[in-house]
Amino acid sequence: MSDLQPDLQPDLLSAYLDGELTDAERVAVEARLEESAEWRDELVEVRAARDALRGLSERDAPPGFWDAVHARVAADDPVDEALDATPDDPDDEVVVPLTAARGSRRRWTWIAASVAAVAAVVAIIVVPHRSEVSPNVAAVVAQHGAQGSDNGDPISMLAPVGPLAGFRR
Amino acid sequence: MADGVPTWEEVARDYGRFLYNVAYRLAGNDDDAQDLVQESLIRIRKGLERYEPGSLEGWLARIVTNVFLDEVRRRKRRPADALPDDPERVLPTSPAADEVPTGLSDEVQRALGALPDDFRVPVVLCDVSDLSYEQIADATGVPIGTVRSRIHRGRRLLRAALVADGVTGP
Repeated sequence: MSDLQPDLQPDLLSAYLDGELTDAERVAVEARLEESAEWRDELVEVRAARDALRGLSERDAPPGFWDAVHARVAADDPVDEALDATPDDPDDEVVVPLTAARGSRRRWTWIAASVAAVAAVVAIIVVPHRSEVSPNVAAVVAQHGAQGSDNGDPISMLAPVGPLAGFRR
Repeated sequence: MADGVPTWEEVARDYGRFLYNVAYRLAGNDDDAQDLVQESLIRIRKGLERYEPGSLEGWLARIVTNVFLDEVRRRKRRPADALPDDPERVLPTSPAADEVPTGLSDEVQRALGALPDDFRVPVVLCDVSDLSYEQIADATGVPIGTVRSRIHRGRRLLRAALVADGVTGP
């Protein structure tokens, strides 16, 4: 840190690269760069980032875009605009759906989701509960238990689910 | 053009590429860039009658930036709209644009897109739009000292991201 400029901030380095400093600031920054390797390293970093950004190629809009935009902007009804309470600053206006197609698709998505939700609720209310489905499992179990109790052996009434297992000797 | 004030058609013709580039670098994809440009031109058309000849590019960049920030705020209120890969497209992306070798452009754009908005906006306005710090302060409504600080921090963050991705040496 320079004794002459103890409060010099490194963010001056980007401004230095961009030619946004006063003469006095520029002289101070150059003096600091002379004495500080840390500042020199930081200058290299921000210069590399700046070069990378400025080296980006220009992006072209897709074919047909400008014709579509002209049609859309020209179709923006000036009568409606006149009736609007036009703000002083155009930037204060509310963002409208930016593309009619996208806005329309989103509206249909919401409608479809709403219909699906209603259908789900109806299904839950109207579809019979499991206990009402034939065969009635609860009744079969009760009957089976009663039969088992009659002969005093609830287990032997049950059909084996597989070959009887036993220990071999 | 009357009294130095262009029509919106002239703006679209002469500054369309400028608008599209700013929008694309802010939004990070063609779909959103198209939406931003379209909405910007609607605002430009409405605002031109109050435009006082000066830095037209600064004024245009301010409008694109405000449309972008409005959209960011709107999507924060409705997170469902903030899906990164919206399949809905107004127009197909130019195959030619996709096929052009971009070198490090994709990596740089990705790193740029990862910057917080507070840093990405001034960095784009400075390094893509080539606006002065004063114009950026006017466009974003923050003090010029804040602009200077955010540009510097934004570049450092971007540089760190590129180094982390192995795009460039330390």
